[in-house]
Amino acid sequence: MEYGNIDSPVIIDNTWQVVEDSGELSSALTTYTFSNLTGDTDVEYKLIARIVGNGGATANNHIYVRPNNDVTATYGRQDIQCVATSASAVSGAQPGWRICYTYNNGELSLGEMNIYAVSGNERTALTYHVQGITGTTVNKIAQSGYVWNNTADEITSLNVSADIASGLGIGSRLILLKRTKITSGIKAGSIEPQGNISGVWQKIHDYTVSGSSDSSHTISGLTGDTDVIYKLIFRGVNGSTSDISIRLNNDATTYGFQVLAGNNTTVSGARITSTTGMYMGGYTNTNKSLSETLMYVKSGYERVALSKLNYDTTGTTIQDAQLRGAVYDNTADEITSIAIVGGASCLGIGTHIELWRLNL
Amino acid sequence: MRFGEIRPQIGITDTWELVEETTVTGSAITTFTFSNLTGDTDEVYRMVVFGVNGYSGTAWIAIRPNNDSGSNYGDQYLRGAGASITSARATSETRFVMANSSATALGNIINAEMILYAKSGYVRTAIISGLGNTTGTTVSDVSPRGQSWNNTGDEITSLVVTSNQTGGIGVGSYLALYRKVV
Repeated sequence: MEYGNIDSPVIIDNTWQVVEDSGELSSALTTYTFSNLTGDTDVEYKLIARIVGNGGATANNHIYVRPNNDVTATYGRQDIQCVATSASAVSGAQPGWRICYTYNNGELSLGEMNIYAVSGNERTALTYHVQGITGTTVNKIAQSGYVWNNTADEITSLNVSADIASGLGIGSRLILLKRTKITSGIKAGSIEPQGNISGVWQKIHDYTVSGSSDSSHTISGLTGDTDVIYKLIFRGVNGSTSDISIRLNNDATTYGFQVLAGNNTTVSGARITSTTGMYMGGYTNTNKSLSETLMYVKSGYERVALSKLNYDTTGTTIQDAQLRGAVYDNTADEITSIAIVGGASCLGIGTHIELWRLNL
Repeated sequence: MRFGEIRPQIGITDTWELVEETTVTGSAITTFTFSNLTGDTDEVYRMVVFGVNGYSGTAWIAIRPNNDSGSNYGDQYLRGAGASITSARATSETRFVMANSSATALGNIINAEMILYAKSGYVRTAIISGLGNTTGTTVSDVSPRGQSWNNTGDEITSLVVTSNQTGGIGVGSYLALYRKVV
C-alpha cells in the first residue's frame, strides 16, 4: 500500500531507527549522554559522530564512548591506522571506546561505531574514524576493535565524553540508532512510502547501468543541508580502466584524502591534499569494485566522508582492501547533487549505485 | 501520516529490514542457515556475527553463500595485531572469512559485520570488518577485508554461517541478516 510521509513519532519493527540526535551543538559540551537505553533488548547500536574540535589548540582531545559511564579500566582495543604514509597498529587498555579525535580547535573528525550490547559476554564495538581534518588535509584514518569486559550489566546509557573540557565543540553532532524490535502496534503488509520515513535509513536513489557504459552518473535534487547524512553504496563493473570518485555538486576542486591500503602483502598509506574528488573505487581489465561511503554533507563546515573499499576484484583475486577518509573543502554551498565520475565509459554495464539518506 | 508503531509483515520499500536473527541458547551449534533468500531481488545484504566460541579449542566462524565450500573465495585483508600491521591475499579460500584470529578458547569472541553485493551476473563482492579472538580486555586483532565469491551464475538462496569445529558457535552467539527492501 502506498503512503505519503511516515512521520515522527513512529517505531517500525525490525529495522534501524534513530534513538536520539543531538543536533549540531549550539554550545560546547564535555559530555553527552544517551540515556534510558535497554541494551539487552535493543541488541545492537550504531553511533555516528561528527566532532568539531574545541578546548584549546594542540590539545589531544579523545572522544570516548562509555557504556553506563564506566570510567574504570575495563576497556581494550586493537587499532590499525595510517598517518600520511605511516601505517601502524596499536593495542592495549583504554579508558573507553574511542570514536573520534581532534587535536586543534576547529578540526573535524567523523566516526561510526557498531556496538553489540547484550549482556552475558564481553561487549564489543567496531569503529571507523577519520580525524585531523582541516581544509583539504585529512590527518589520519583508523579502524578499531574494542571490548568492554563487563559481562553482567545491561547497558542503560552511552556516555560520549571528551577528555578535555568542552571538547565537543559547537557544531559537533551525535546520532544513535538502535535495532527496533516491537511486539505490538499496527500490522501492515507491504508499505510503499512515497515520502520520508522518520528516523530510518531510506534509499533515495537506485541506479544500474544498462545498455551501454556510462562515463559518469549524477544524483540530483538533493537537499544536503536538510538531509545531513548520506551513505553511498557503489558496486562498480569496469567499463574501462579508471579510478572512480564522488564529486559533490560536481565540483572538481578542493578535495583531500587519507588512505590505508593492503595489496597482497604490502601495506601502504598516502595523504593527498589537492585532488578532484572523493575516491571510492576503481579497476583495471574487467574487474569489479565495492565500496560504502558515509558522508556528513550539511554546510557550515568542511564535508567529510569515511569509506571502506573492496578494490579491483576479479574471480578470487582482490587487489586492495582500503580504508579512506576524505574531505571536501567547501563549507558554504548546500549539496544538491552527487556525481560519480571517472574516465570515459568507466561505469560498465551492471554498475550499481545506491544512495541512502538517514532521516533525522 | 502518523502511525505510532508499525509491524510491517512484508517490508517497507527502500529501507533495511531484518530478515532473521538468532541468539544461540541452550547448547552450542555448528551451523546456522539463513534460507529462502532471493539474492537477485534483494541485491544487498548486511550480516552481523557476534560469535562466542562454544568449542574447547580454536574454532573459526565463516559464511558460505548457498553452502558452497569449494575453493571459490578470495580475500584481501589488512590486519592489526598488537603493534604489527600486515596484509595478505588469498585466492582459494573456502569461505567468507569473518576475522583473522579464530577464537582460541571456550568463550572467546569474534565480532564482524559484512556487506554483500549478492546479485548474480558478476562475481559477488563483500566488505567485511571484524575483530578476532577477544577476551577480557584483549582484542587480538582487527581486520578490514575485501572478499569475493567467484560464482557468477547462481542466485543466492541461502547464507550459511558455519564453524570448523562441532559446537563452534556457542551459547550467546548472535547472528542477524538484513536485506534491502525493494
